[in-house]
Amino acid sequence: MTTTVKSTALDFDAIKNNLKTFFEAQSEFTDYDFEASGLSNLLDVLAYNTHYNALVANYALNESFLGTAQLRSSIVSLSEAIGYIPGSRVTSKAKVQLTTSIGTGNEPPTITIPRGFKFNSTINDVSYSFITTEAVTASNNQGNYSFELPSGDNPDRIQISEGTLKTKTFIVGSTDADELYVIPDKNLDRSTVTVRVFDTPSSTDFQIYTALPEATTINENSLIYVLKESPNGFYELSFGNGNTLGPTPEAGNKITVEYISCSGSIANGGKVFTAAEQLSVTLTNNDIVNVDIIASTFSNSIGGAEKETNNSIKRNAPFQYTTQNRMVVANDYSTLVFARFREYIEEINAWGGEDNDPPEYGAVYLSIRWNDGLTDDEKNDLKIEIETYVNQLAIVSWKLRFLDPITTFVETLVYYQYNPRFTTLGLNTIKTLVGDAVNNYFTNSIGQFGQSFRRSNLLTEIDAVDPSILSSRADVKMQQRLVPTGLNGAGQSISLLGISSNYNFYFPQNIAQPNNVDYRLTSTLFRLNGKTCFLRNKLNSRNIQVIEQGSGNAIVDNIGEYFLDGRVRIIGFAPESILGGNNFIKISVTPGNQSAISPARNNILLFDDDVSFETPVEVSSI
Amino acid sequence: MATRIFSQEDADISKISVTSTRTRPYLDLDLSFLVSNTGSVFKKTEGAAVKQAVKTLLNSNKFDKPFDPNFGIDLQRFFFELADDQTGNRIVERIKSIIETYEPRASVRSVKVGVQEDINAINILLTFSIRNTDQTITLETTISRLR
Repeated sequence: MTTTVKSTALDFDAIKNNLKTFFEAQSEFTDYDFEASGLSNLLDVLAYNTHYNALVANYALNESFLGTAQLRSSIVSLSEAIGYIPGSRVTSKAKVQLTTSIGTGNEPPTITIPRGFKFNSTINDVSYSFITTEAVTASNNQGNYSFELPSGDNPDRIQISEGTLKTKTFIVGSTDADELYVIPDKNLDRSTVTVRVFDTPSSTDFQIYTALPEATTINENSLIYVLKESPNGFYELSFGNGNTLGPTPEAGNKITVEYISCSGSIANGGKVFTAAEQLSVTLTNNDIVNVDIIASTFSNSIGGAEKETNNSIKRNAPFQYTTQNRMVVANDYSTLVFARFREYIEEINAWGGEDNDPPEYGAVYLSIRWNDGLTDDEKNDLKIEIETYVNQLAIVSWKLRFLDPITTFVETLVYYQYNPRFTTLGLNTIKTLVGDAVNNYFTNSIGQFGQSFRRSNLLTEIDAVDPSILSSRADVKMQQRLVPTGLNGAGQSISLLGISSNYNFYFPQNIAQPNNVDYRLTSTLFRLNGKTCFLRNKLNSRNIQVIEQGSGNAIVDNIGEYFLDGRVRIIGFAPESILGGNNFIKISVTPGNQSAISPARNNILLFDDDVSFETPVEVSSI
Repeated sequence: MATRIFSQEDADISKISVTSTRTRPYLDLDLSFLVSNTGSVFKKTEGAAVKQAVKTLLNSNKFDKPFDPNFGIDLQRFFFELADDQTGNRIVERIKSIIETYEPRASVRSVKVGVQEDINAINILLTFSIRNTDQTITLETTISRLR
């Protein structure tokens, strides 16, 4: 006999049923299961109240942990508790050369463009404002002026940032009140904030405070500020506690916060920049003229990013906590570099040199998938910035190596037995569903560093499509692409079509032993010596031949070889053109173990659905 | 021994009860919540309990009951629409349908509805019997707009 009310249910109906179960064991009232009865109405109130409280408790508990929180305010707050600072919007930046000319004969020796000088750029039919982030100066060269930064390797490449320069001014009230200074702007770029504290509202002398994450030491004299995202998405500024965590501004001080309010990622891709105003120049005869500033683009606007997403915060905050803002193990490098350069990086992987192939002790390797739109020059500049950043935070001075990601494509030939008696679906529908299942598997399972292909998982997905699919199997190949381009002596990219060249490939998995039945290496078509050809290994051999399509004759008997450990070497290869509408030749190999392909280090797997097929085999068996 | 499986439409007829007698008394709270001499609340029993339940249905409107939006005869709705010759019929159908759904103990014998559009009032004379008993109950009520 039930003597207590079950307290495990959370839904209204389940709670009410538990209450009814309780009344079933009582004889006091019996009308509990007639919906219109007075008792049932009373149970409604009880169940609703219990359900409501359970729901609130459930939400409250979920919002208390980083892994389950849903509200941004909770996620931000919880991440801050472990020392993580969620990323703000980031302004998009372009590099331009700025010039002007004055032809009056009274040209001044130097002229200066101040910080905040505006340019316009139209991106997707929307005009965005870009500004100079620091003053730049130009010297007179026969009436022509070319502006330069005060320092740097390329002083003529002047950075302009998208957005509007804004200033907020606060007068400190009582220091006892533990004041927070609110910046009501969700579009603030945290990296552009400058905090100045003046002694009095009319004073011109000020002290510049540093953001907490950039502080190298914190003591009673450290001028530190903390900028937090508030629950409503704005920002709140606070200072040290006045003693061990640095001074706090005193009553009567004036605080100014200067920052760029930006549009984020939608301002990426600006190509042409036009000055939105004229520059006023005082000539040597004290006349004032307005001159046009000409902007020539060095690099398009890139690097703009939105506020860090909830999922990103939840993923990165615990890792950032484990790094303690210093780089010791490989994961520290990838976590901190990603956090600092997230607007440029799609994905990053790091590993110790001892795990590299070949091993290099005393080195750390980074492989970065960059965001779209970055030029090679920009990537090289960023690598230099990353090295500088790593040098600041690395505990031991390991050598830092960058390796570009290597993409290996997976090709699958799937065959599945299908009995139409077991389904009401037509064959075409089944084919579509199987195709979708294959694509879904690859979309969800590979495409990032460290994600493996597992054939059994793919086949499980296919078998689960419909009861009419009785079994399935798949032949798997790995594919890399031969792109006949190279660099000339000046470092410029050139085509190697028709030029004898060597090519090396490193597959992430062993290649199958040669035998006398199957060709372990094949390629797509190209033209050589005026004939349509493809590459193929010789049966029972690892040597690679150039085979003429149609006749099957070997045009070149030995143009390279493959190795069982996954390497492929092609020597003296000079295709005249590539057939099939691509600018690359697909080199496909059969893995030694088709059950799984596990890419390590800088290898990434992708799916090539152009050469992957799913074939139904109709059967009547069960 | 083979297990017999029945279609969803037929359900498991081996478990369906055909009992026609009732052993459990109807015992409900008196919604006036008056205290009896024993110190507990008064109870409604048998026909009175069913009558109270039917009254509750008459006085309930849609969405009054949590997670059961169709509960209630929803007479309030009829006060706020133009009355025509079919209004009475619609109320009768609604009363029959809702009582059948939510109060299986009551079997409606007759419903008479008088719509007095001049004074925004509805008279209801409802006669129903309690199933498995010979008890017949008549419930007469007038519902009107306060303003």
